[in-house]
Amino acid sequence: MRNDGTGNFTNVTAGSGMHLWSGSSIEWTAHDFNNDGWIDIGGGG
Amino acid sequence: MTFTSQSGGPGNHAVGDMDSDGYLDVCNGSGYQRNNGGNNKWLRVNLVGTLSNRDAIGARVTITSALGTQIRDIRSGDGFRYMSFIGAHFGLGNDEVIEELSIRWPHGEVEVFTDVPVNAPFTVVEGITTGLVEAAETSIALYPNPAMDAITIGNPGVNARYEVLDAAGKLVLEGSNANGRISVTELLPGAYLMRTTENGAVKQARFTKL
Repeated sequence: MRNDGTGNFTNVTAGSGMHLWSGSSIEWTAHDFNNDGWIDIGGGG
Repeated sequence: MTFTSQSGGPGNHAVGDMDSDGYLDVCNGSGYQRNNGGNNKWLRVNLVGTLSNRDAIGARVTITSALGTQIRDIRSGDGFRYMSFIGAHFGLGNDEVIEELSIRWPHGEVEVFTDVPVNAPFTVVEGITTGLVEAAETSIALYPNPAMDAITIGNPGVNARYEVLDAAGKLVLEGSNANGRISVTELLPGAYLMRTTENGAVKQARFTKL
């Protein structure tokens, strides 16, 4: 859900890569693991 | 904003750079997954609160490089079961120049740094740029502390001048003959620095206004 900064959220899951995730995780871990300047997301799959 | 799926990544783990190579590793119970790293640049900001809480929980760290602006909030206990590294870690891609690093401390003041070196930890003690923690050779006694209406300096000379600085280093009160009670009723609640000067000797101490 992308926050537009005014309290509105848009569903951007489709095509993002996150839509390919089939697991259900108790927790997601968000850090920049490869130091490319973009946050990565880890979860149990 | 797209993501590429990788297998074998972390689920719920404690995250931190265990081997200090600049790349975040994870561990879970007895399991430890070391990040093999790469050639991307990075910056790690460690905060030491003085007026704010010691771990600077609640601080916001913002950096700007060619990639753009990145933000980290210092949080504690945001994971399930695990406690991760508490500092601010930034990946920088190929960027070797951090144009600006700013820290908004929980206490409210903002400190800004430029020319911050990459691929290294950067430790900031709160107040270093505002002068609040510059070395004071001698401390003074202040009471009551915290203060509500007035504060008394314990050991001033009759010729001592006093200054009161707020958390941003701004002069908010000053006067002479600092012996006796100094009214602080007009100060907003918060942390302050009392500094006395007598014959060139500077003494200071912090106090809290309720």
